[in-house]
Amino acid sequence: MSQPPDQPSQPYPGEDGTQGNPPPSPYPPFDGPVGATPPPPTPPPGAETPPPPGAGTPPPYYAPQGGTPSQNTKAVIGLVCGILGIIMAFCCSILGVPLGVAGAVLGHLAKQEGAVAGGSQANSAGIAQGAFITGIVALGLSLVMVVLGLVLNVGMGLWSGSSGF
Amino acid sequence: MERKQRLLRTQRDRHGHRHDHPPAARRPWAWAAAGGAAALGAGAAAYLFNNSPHVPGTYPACFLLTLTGFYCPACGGTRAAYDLMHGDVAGSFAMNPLVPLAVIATALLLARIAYRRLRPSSNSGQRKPLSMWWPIGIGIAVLVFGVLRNVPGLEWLAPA
Repeated sequence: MSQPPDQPSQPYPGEDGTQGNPPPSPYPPFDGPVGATPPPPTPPPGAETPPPPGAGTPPPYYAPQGGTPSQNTKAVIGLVCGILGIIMAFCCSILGVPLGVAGAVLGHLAKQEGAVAGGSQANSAGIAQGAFITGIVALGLSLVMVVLGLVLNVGMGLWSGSSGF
Repeated sequence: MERKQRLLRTQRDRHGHRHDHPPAARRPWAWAAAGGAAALGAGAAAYLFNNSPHVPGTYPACFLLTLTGFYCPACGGTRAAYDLMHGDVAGSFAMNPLVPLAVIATALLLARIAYRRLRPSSNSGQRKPLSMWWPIGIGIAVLVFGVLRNVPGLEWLAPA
């Protein structure tokens, strides 16, 4: 995996120069994930318009900013949410629902960004996967425990009883 | 790892572009979901602000406390949030210190993200990735806290 260049407007580094002229990307250049280095303030004009077909020049390669393996903030926060969600599922289960959702969403986003950035951050990819899985588990456990807890509360008449929260 | 890299590269070439997923600005559903979650949170906070959990019976009881008599790591959390919203920081720490600590940690995290976005020059060099021991350590700390507040002699950790 060649190290991506620092400037976003730099042409495709050409790890295989024979790729011809692929169709333009339907998306504008991606600024990079949260915590990544934002692009320079003024991208050169024309950086967002792909060259006309047959021009022979490869389209601009929008290097993932912050190519250093440092953009795992989302994955780590997601893993925090997922782990806490699993813990919370067993007591105040209602807390586990938003925590699980946050963990799963952040893990999913981090996985997407990991795919963009390539294999340069294997550790972060693992953390993102862990966040996704723990988030899903936390959400499922919490929903089950919320239902059980409500049944228990109603069944034992606790709602008008002691303040457990 | 090599196979994965090749797969990624192949995908990029076949589709003619890197698999750069669209930023959030291109995904209105993401903003709708975030807005819905924010509205839910604001509504819950408003309800909590006006309905004191110190009054028994306002909210459903914690079934772990009811069944086992043990305090869980989150017990007292609602009262701590209520106290914090009403300016009673000491009361918040007394009910559940995790709540004010979580608020402080969230504020620091948001400030860090904002600083890195506003000051790109501050992260031009090598930045260390966050360690996976952060989430694991936080989880262990929360579990230990949940155990300690049930230990005789450490009742000050438990909600009154």
